[in-house]
Amino acid sequence: MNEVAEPGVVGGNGVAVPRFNHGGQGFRSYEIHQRERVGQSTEKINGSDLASSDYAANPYKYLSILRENYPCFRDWINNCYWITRYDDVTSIFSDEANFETRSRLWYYNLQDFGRDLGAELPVLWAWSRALDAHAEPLTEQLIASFNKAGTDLARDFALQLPLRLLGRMLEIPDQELDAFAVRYWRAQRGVQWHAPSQLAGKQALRELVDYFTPKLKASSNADTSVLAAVAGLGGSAADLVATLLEADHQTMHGALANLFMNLLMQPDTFAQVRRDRLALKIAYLETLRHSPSVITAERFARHEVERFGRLIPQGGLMRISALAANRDPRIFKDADTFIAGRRDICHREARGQYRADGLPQGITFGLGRPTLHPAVPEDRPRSLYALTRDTAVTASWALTQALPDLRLKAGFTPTTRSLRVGEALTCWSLPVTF
Amino acid sequence: MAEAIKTAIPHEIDPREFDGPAFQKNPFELYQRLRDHHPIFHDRFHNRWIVSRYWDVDAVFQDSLSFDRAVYKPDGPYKFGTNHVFGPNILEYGNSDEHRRLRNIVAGQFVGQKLDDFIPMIHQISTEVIERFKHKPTFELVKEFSSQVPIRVISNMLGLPREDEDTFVEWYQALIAGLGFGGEHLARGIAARNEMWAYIDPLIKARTGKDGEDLLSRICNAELAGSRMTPEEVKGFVALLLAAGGDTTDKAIANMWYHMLYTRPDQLADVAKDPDLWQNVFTEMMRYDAVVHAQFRHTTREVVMHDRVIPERAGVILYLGAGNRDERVFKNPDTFDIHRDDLHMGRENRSGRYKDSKPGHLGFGIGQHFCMGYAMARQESQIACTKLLEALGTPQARDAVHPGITSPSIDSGGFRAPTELWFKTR
Repeated sequence: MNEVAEPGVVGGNGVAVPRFNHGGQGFRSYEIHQRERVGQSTEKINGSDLASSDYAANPYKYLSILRENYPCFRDWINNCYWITRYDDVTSIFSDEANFETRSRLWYYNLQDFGRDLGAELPVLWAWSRALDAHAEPLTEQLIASFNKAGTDLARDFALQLPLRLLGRMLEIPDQELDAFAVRYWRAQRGVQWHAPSQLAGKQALRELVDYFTPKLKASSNADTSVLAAVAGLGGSAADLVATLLEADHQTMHGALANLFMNLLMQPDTFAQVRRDRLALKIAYLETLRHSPSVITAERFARHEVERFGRLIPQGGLMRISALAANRDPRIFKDADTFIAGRRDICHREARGQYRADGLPQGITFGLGRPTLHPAVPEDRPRSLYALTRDTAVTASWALTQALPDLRLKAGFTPTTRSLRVGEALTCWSLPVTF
Repeated sequence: MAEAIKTAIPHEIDPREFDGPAFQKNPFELYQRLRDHHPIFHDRFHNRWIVSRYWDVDAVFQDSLSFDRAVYKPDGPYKFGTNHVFGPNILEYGNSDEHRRLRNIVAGQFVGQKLDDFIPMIHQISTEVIERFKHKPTFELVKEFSSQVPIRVISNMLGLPREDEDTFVEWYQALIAGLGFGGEHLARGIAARNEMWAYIDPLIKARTGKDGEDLLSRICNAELAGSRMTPEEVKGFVALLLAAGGDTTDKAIANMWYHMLYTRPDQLADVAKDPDLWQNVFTEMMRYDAVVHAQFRHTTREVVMHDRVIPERAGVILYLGAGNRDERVFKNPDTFDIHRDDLHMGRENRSGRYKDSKPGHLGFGIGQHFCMGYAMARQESQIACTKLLEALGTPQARDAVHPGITSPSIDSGGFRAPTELWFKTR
């Protein structure tokens, strides 16, 4: 490309910046560097704030500074770019051409470990049938086990339900479920930056393969068994574990815990959703907007790409925060308030693009990417997003109907927190009386 | 927290240790764990890969086809230098032809006869600075000597007015701080650079096309295969020279004296008898605890090291400070010894390979981005230290105990050195 130097341009900060004509794109290049410089000259926040314990306790404080001041923040300490505005975040999620999603096995440096069969139709069908079949009965079982003297909804319901559902679809006997849960959670936490957890996670992956190897050979023919579906596809135990690793249980756990945290803190809203299942579903969607458990997702630039007034280098890590985007006041009125009947959010499943009906949709990437298929397809199961939503609503409805006097333990104020920087922002304790 | 992890798994590394004050003060314990247990460490917290063993660092330096210095591609749309605190300068260009062009134009100015031309001036300035505090009963080396000599030498080399030397000192300190990660430091660094550019612009115009023996005239008029530096490139290079050339030598002098006073006071007597041994002090200082401990690279393709696959365009940090203490290469690497026989003690070179078959220190880098000012830094440090020793006779530390060498905060740029070093002269 021939560069033709033009007379210097004096930027907003009084610095003379040479302007070059990049084959008609001169202005854009000039813009990049002006904005980049301004964006980095910040005294309001720096990278160490975004890796602090305070950030783990309350990421909203820091992410709102980014969103309002530095929408594409170059974090030199953590070597990444933070994207925090709603429109910017959705534009990256839907831009597979420029931004790559890496599998959890990549983070483990175990690319050859096994295949993720989560997109295979037999697996999806089994998954879908299992969730539909077991959500309600399992919730009833959990409710029956609640102790009047001390029940914690976060621990005894939100955490238990997704693991027990997995137990059913994987044909795990109840007495082996706890051991499975510990290994599975270790495997998921090992994806994060914490080195000892990475080691423990690798060990857990190996143990899960050993555990499932004989089970896979002896799997049933039940159409609600993911184990049987994987065996039917000729998959190995490693394939099954790779599939489970990509699926995770933390998002349903976080969504249920945070939903009941929000409802129990707003008794009027809670009373309303007890009476109306549709209102409960909308409250669930509002929870995903107002208090999603996944703080950021990671994408990697496939090549040098100019976005948000910056040139992102090839391989550049984008930390995309749905949590910040979902509180973007440009998109949502009273964005920091949980409003179960909110009218400025789309209540349909996102399909291909986020702005269905011209209304914004809370970003729910933790529950699966938006599907390109119809919301209620005839020839394939619903998307994982829809399945998870329906399961959560079914279970929550069963719980609210079974315990009409459910309320927060007097004097307790629940809150969300991450166990470690970057991990899920979940309500970990929700003591109740009923 | 980090302590708890070490207790649980002795060799494991919590990446947050790299951000803590303990690492700034003493990185060597962590370096040891890296070398011994994680020769390639994927630091997911900071999104980078860490290389720490001597021959691995050497291999990365040598392999410029797989590891590039620049974040951006040389043939892409990025306009190099527009965002760097120094402005357009050769540090940012990576492995491109542009880097080679700029380097070839200026590299010859810092070695051989052209360097020798400046030696009397280095003697003179060192003497002048020493005269300022020689009569005092105590003096502080960093403030009164080591931070004063290099910047005055460089401004003299450039032929800048001597009455403005104090202003250059302020500028270079702001420029160096701007290399850190803190936005406020960058803003101040850029402001200092802009002031310096405004100051130097008329000088560049005045000296371009005219003969002159000063470095600025030489750089303005240096021509290689018909190519010259543009005025913007000259300004960027001057900023680089003031900051990188000044600050590193400043810290090197302070570190050399620190080791002579506190680490090996017994060897100071040897140096007093034979001032040529300052060469060894310089070399061993560059190995033991050099001014610069890390260099960054980006992979240009997938690279396999120690069975780990580093992906294309990944950030890689080379811990020179860790490689220099590698017990696979140096005997008793944690001992400071100016008479050590397993280290190349003479002048460094770009290849990192020496006729005496001994390994050199990694402090100047190796290969395409080997420090251009290596000979100058060595010469200047040796002269300044020799002059000070001559003037003081038998120098003594004022304080029996010293807090030691440390790195500045991660938010502000700068290099490892003691913050203060007090002497008593009588």
